[in-house]
This record gives sequence, C-alpha cells and structure tokens, in this order.
Amino acid sequence: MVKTFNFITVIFIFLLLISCGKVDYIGPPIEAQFGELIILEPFSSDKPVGVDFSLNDTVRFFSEFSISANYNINISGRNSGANFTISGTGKNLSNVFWAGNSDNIFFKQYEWCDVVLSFDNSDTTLSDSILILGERDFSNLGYLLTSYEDPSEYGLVNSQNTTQLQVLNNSSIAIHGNNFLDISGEGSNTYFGATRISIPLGGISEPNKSNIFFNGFFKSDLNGSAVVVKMFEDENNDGSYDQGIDEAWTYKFTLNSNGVWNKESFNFDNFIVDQTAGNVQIDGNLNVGNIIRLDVVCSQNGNSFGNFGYFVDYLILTYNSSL
Amino acid sequence: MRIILTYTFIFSILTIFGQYPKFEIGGLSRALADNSFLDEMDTVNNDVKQDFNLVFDLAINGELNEFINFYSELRLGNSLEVFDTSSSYINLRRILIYGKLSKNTSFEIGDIDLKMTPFTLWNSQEEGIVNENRLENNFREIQRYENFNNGNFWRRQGLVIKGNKSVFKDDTISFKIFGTRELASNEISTPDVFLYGSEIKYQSNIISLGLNHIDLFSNYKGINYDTNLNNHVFSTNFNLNFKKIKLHSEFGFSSLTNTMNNFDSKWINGEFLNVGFNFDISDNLSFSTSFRSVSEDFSSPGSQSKRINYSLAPSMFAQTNNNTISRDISLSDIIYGVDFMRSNSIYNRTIDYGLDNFNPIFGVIEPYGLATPNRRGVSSDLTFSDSLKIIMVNANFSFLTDLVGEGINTKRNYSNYSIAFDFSLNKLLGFDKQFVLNGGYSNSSSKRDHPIDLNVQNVNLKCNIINLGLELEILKNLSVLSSYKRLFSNGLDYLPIRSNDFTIESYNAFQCDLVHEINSLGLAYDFNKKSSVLINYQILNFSDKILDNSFSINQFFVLVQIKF
Repeated sequence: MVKTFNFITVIFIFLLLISCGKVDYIGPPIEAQFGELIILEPFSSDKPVGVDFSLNDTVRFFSEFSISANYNINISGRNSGANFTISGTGKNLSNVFWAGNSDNIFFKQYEWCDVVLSFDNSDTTLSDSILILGERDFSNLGYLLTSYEDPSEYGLVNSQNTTQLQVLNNSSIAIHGNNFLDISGEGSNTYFGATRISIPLGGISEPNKSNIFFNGFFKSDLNGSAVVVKMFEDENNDGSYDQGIDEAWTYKFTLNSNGVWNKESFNFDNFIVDQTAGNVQIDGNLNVGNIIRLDVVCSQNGNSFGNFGYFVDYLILTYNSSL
Repeated sequence: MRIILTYTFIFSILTIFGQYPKFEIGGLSRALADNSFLDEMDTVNNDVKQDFNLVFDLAINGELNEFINFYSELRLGNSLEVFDTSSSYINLRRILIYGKLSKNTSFEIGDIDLKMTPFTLWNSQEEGIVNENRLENNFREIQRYENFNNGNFWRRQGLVIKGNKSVFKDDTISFKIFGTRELASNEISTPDVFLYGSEIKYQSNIISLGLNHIDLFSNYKGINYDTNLNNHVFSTNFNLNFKKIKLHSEFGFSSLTNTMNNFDSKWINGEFLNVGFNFDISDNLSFSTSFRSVSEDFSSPGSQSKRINYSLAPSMFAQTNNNTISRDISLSDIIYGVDFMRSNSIYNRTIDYGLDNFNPIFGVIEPYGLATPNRRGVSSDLTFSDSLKIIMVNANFSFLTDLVGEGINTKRNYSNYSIAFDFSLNKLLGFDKQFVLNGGYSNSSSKRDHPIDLNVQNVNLKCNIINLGLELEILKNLSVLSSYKRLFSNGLDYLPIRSNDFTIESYNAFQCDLVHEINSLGLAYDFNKKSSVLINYQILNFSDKILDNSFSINQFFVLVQIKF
C-alpha cells in the first residue's frame, strides 16, 4: 500500500515537472496594442544628403519608441510615384534598411522620396525625406533581357497589322534609364509585332525552371491588350530554332489598361508548349540551358477588331523570386 | 401533426405486442405569472409581464416489447392571458427509443444525454453560484429543466450504444459509442457537423482505467465551399481507490484543424494533465485537491462550450436608461429569466468550434471550466458537517497561473476562494419547523504586473459574489423565504481574442467597476413534497461606474409547481 502510494507520488511529481512547459509568450505583444507610444528618438536616416543605390548603398533608419510597436515605413517617390513599404515590430528601427527596391515601378535617379513612419493603433506619424542620387541596379538579380537602352540587346519584329513600333526616349516616362518601347497594332489578329531577344546558350545560369521568373513593366490604356511571351529552345544545338525539331514555349497574359506602369511577373512553370503556327511538341521538357531566344509579343485578349498595344520597359529574368 | 402521427405509430405498435405495453406516466405542471418593470426614471421601456403561462409536461415511459422501450415528454402549454385556446401549443420536448441489443449491450436513439469527462464532453454549470437557497434554486432548477441542462450532461440528438461485461469477479469492462448531428448543412456554404465519441473503461473496486476519444467534424462534401473541420480530443483517466484516499488522474491531448482548404490541413495540438486525490479524513470532514495543467492551444468544444450564450442580449430590458445603454447578460437573467412561451433562450444548446464568449464580471480564472486553456495550478476543496447536520461548511481554493504568458513573458496569477455554509437553526434551537440560514462568499481575481517601461496598465480584475439566504417556516408548510445576492466586480484585464486557428490575434481591454444586487422576499406554501406555490418579490439593482449607468428592476413572481 505504502509502496503504491509512493509510486503514484513520484509519477505525480514527474508529470508536474514536465507537463506542458513553455518559455515564450503567445499572441502579439501586449504593449503594441495598449502601451502608451512615446517617441524617444526622432525619426531620421543615415543618408541626409542622398543615397546612390547604383553603388549598392543602402539607407538605414533610426527611431526609438517607448513600447514594442507595429510600425510601417512608407516610401513614395515624388516624380515616379513608386512606393515601398517596410513593416515590422519592435522598440526601435535597428536593422531596418532600404536598398532602393520598390513594390511596383522603380524609383528614379535624382528623385526626392517622402518617408513616413506610422504605427498600428496610433495616430502618431513621423516624416523624413531622401534624395536618390543613383538607381539601384537590379540586373544582378538574374538575367537582364533588355531595358531598351542598348539596341544590340534586342530586335524589333513587325507585322502587317503593326501601327507603332518605336523605341522612344523620355526619361520622365521610362521606367529605367531613358528609353522604352511603344508598340501597338490594329486589326482582329493576335500578332502586332514583338521584341526579339537572343540569349546565348547557357546564358541563364539558373538550371531549375521553377526558380526563374519573367518580369517586365507594361503600360497600356487600350482595352483587351495582351502580351504573349514566347521562348525558343535549340535542342539540337545548331545555333537556331528549327520548327519541327526544336520546341517553343508560350505564356499569355492580359494587361491592365489603367494607363499607368504595371509590373508583370510570372514563373517559368507557367509556360506551355507552343503548338501554333507550325510549332510542335518534341519532348515536352523545358530545358533552360537550351533557350536561345525570347519574344515579347504585342497581342490581344481575343480576336475582335480594334487597337491594341502598350509601352514596355525593363524586361528581366530573376532567380528564386519575382522582382 | 407530426406528434399525432408519432403517437398513432406508437399505439399501433402497442396493439401488436400482446403482453406489452407496460406504461409509466409521470410529469409536472408549472404556472408562472410575473411582472417586471424598471424604476420611474425610465419612461421608455414597457413593463414585461407573463399572465400565468401554464405548461403541463407529460412523460410517458413505455416498454414496447422485450427489447425496445419508449420515452417521451409531451408539453402542453397555454397562456391564461387570453381566455381561449389561441395561445395554446403542443410540442414534443423529448423522444427517446431505447432498449437492449443483447444481454450486455443497450442502445438509445433520439434525444440522448451525453457526458464523458471534464476535458472531453462536459456541460459546466453556469457562473455566479456560491450557495443559493430555496428561493433561487426554484428558478435555477426551472431554467435548467427548460434548457435541457441535466447535471453536466449535454442533451443531443443522435445514437448511443453502451455495453458492459465482467472480466473477473468484481470488475467490469464497459464501453460507450455515440454519434450526433450538431449542425445541418444548408447545401451551399454550411457543412453538416457531427460529433462522434467513444470510451472504454475497466473498473474494479480498487482501480479504474478509461480511454476516451471525441471528434467534432464536418462533412464538407456536396457544398460549394471547401470546409474541412476536425477537432479530436483523446484522453485517458486512471483512478485508484484506497480505503480513505481516492486518487484520480486524466491526461490527454487535442488536435484541431480549422482550415477552409482541404489540402492545407494544419493541425493545432494541445495537451492537458489533471491529477488529484480525495481524502475522507473522518465521517464529517473530507478534503480533496488536484493539480492541472492545460496548454494554451488545448481545444475541446465538448467541454469548453458554455452553458450561457453571452453573445446574445438579455431577453428583458436589453437597453436601459430610456433605451440609451445596452446591458449584458447578468445573474438575474441567468436565474430568473424564465419564460415558458419564448422559444429563444440565452442558454446555449450548441457545441461548436472555437471558444464561446463569456462575461468577465464573473471572473476569468476558469471561464471554460476545468478545460479552460492556458491554466496551470492547484485547486482544493474542504467539506465539513457536524454529526447532527446542524452546520455544513464547504471551502474551495484555487491558485492558477497562465501556463504561458499572453502578449508578455509575465504570467497572470489567478486566485479563487469561496466558502459556503448551511446553518440549520431549527436543529440547534430545537424547533420542529424549518429554520435554515445559508450563505456563501467567493472572491476571484487575476493579476499581472507589468514593467514600468512597458507603459501598459497592470492586470488587476476582481470579482466578488455574496449569497445570503433564509428559510423560516412560520406555519405548517408555509415558509418565509429571503435571499440576497451581490456581485461586485472591478478592475482591468486584457482578454485574448482568438482566430479560427485558435491563435491569439489581439486583445480586448476589459474594464469594469460595477455592482449587481438581487434582494428577494417570498412566501412558499408546500401542498406536499412535490407541489408548492411560491410568491416572490425582488428588486434588482445595477450600478456601473464605467458606463455611468445605474437602474433598478422590480419583479413580482407567482409560481405554482406540481410534480407527479
């Protein structure tokens, strides 16, 4: 009897010690919702005279609060309209950096940016401004197809329905640099011209197609305008795409006709075998190392008669994530 | 029409089986008249009254044949407010077919009462009870009866199969399996929801061991939305019975998925442990204590569903002070809000996913009973009565903490202590008529101090309930009854708001400084042990300093009860 009781007691103490122990807390920090927010250090940055992102420079922000707060830093370009938001939780802004990236379109060189720090559950806002001396170079994120600055990077292909196919020079409109392509057509066809970009064999260093994203900036105010991205393989390594021997891939998406620049991105997994206009399926496998050409076609979302087209700039393949 | 067909069917069966049926008939009848009105400061709200609403519940227990029995409760209701039958109604309160499948196996189908353990399937009692006298008990018993709250059982509609068999001489192995439908699909967006449970138990004079499983799940096939919901709770309980000491334990875990996507089944697991013992120190003194630890993500709808639906507005005077200030459900609504004619009720009858709302003015130590998530600590109970049963005292203590801090590393400390007594003065003074004084007091608190640099007010919420009652038999079978109940609650706490996946997404800063009082005086006449009439007048006082609101409600009741 005594032995049994002692045994039970030992079990009880053991369970008491091990049961359900946790060390951290659950839920959002209590002070983020109910604490009194006092700004202990004013909002500032370490680049009061400007930042040159082209030199891989970054902006570091400073501020300190009385509580661990949910904060948002909203950066907006006065000329480009580009935006970028940084959100986080903490009692200060240590380790909060901006490397010149944007949520949509790019920030421009010599542009002033308004930077606003705000907090959830609080009316407190703090402001600062930053001058961009140089744009960030995104080409190291993958393979830059073209930004229409260098004509050797691309070719232009028209059709009988093409009404406009011209690289324009206007730095205040261009997403990056000074140039962008204005392409449009009229009719009920689905091909109104294209940008043709040659890619050297093995030029795309990422072997896994699932890790590759196509990115480009498009601006259109013509309803029904669409983009077809076609990609061509050189499976027999003869230096050219041969219909019936090599494989072509295609992906089509409709453009937003809101009249402003929009960033469009998609993963290479979205490509399907192109079996139109004499192209045929060979092995059904997209081998990134065989890609030798990429066409960005001006098209329409349907086959009705009308005007279709867009401005396009900064076409880039990025690895592991979209731009 | 359905009821008539049911009874026709039953009597048809009775005529077929010659040696059966065997009938037992029982029931009760209650008539209630009441009038409630706000004080003269309120000129907008109309008085609320019932003019002798009368119900007659006829219970029929019939043995249809050797294997099948039948039980039903038929309610006939009428209001004497109108002198015709326009307000009469008839409905079926309960229907149950039960019987034996074999020598050791029985079944029940229909309106079944289900209970397992406090962590799996358990209908915890409503808040605010310390030690109530006959006046309050009368109404509380009616409320529970009207809302199918029989002890800690949940009344469900479904099927249960039970069995038992001896293994050795003085032991039994038993099992129970049940299934109920908790929610009917609308065939578009709401899936069918079912409750399934099973338990198997070995029991001897010394030891008992049980395994329990319950699952609340949805059948999302056939509806447009992909709604895959499952909430399992597994537990095992182990008891040892020595001469004066009884050891008890239960531990287990829950597993919940609450995603709206069948292919994204993220399981949230919680655990609990409960161990303790009861010690009969002498014939007049007993002591029990237990330790429990319930993790913050322990989810058990069957034991965490609340008896009161605090998301509803009170049925009487939901807005006071000339309809300018809303009020929440309080003690008087829970005890005295009886209405035989009203179909909706503040009493909850559903078991559903997620934690129900609760009213923190009753305390926050264990709003979901023993199964309240994120609690760890000790509870003890001491009961004493003298050999002549002149005085009986019960004391209860609980000291709990958060198992893990909510929004901060520091954990809340919860405490609750209550003491209750029944004092039979007639036995002490040698009266032959009833003269009983009873009372109780409970104090519940939650505390958590925050560092100064956090700039967040400390948690400090207190809830006190006082209960005093008197029963004095002045003439044979005629008693004067009096009771006083007071709830005073004040302080601040940050109550977690949980999302569908049981995680805390934010907090509600609850603050109160209020007093609720019920002063009752009544006369009761007992025709016999089962029949009585009660006349009762009471004043309810409400005062809320935070809302700057105070008002009074006057109530008058006449209650006639006959049981047979």
